[in-house]
Amino acid sequence: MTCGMSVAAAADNVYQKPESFLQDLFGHPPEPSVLWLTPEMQTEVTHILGHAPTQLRQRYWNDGTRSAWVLEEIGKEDFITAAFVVKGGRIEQVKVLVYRENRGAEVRYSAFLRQFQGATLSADNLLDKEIDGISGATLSVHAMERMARVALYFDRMAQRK
Amino acid sequence: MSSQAHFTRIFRQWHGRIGAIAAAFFLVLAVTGIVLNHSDALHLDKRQIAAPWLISWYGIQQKPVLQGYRLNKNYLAADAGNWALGGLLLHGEGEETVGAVAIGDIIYIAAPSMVYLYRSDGQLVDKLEGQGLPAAAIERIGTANGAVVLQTQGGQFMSADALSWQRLKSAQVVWSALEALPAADMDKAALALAPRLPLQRILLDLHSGRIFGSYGPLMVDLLGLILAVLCVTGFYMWLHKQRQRHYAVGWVKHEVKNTAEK
Repeated sequence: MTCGMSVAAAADNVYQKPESFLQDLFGHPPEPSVLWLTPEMQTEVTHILGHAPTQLRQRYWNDGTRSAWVLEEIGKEDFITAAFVVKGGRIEQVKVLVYRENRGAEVRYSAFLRQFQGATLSADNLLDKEIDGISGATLSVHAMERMARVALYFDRMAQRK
Repeated sequence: MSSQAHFTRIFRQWHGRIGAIAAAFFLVLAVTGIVLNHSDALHLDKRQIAAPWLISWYGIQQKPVLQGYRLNKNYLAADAGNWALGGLLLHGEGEETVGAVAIGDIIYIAAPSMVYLYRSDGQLVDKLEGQGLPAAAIERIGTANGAVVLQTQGGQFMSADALSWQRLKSAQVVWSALEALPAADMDKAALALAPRLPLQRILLDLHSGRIFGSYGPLMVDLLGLILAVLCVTGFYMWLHKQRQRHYAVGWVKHEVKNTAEK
């Protein structure tokens, strides 16, 4: 997983640019904050993702009540860029910003993404809600779940800073 | 010898000869087919092969890496959007490199639309683009008073943390510039940036015959035809043998019956 805002190539399906999402969410987006991944956090993120985080510094936006995380994770072969808004330790909003895989773009539909609303992390960093899969988009669904868990974990760590 | 037996004998001879010659090719097709069937589980697309003879077979030639950006202890050499930091390979996203600087343990590599932050051990720290940058189209990168400086089409900006950027008013900037690589660094860079091919592609090309050029797929087509012929001749021989056995058993039964009646 990378944790930035990647430039979309011409062939990518860009549903919304990260800057535009942040603009819609906050009006005037706050200055980005930074969460440095300590070795313990890297271990935990590795456990969630199944691979090491590719970046050590995670930028996020926090207006005092909610935090926004723009994350990237590979579904099958290419990165999916998605934004997660967390409020009070629960997911408030999820949006797929850029989809680069050939199959599985159904994860962008609100009917699927609504399932994440209100989800929080259990003690073992799993979502406390069951997310129904989408036939033909299994790997993208799993990538979205992993990113949701990481966003909640990052938010929890950011609160402790 | 009947004509049918004669044909069967010829079939058997040619079936054996063709099968023996084609067996090695069938084995390659079978093994590559089985392995490719599990390419996701085996992560074949992630395994990179850099064997020089294979790269040369594909007609890929590595450009000599002659220049690089001098950092703290190492040089950073760029090729096709990737970088060699000493002997480490760092992956970019294909953009040309406009410069690289090191401040403390962090290395900043600039491309026109991105700045990559790496630790000196090759671990990616952050990627800056879009809103993370002060302005578009980076032209140069440098340092001034321990801060990173970007020259963009929108002016010059500096930052101490690569998070918040201020317009540069006046400072003595040391701009990153290419230098000739020392011989030892040239070798390290050439090794790190050596062209690679994913194992999946090599196996696919081997399975389809494309690895042998434009005639390769025709060879594989021919192998397919040979396999079809072997199937037909094999079945024919099996059928012939079954019939012979059937007649032999019938004849013995007939003889036993005749003997008993007498």
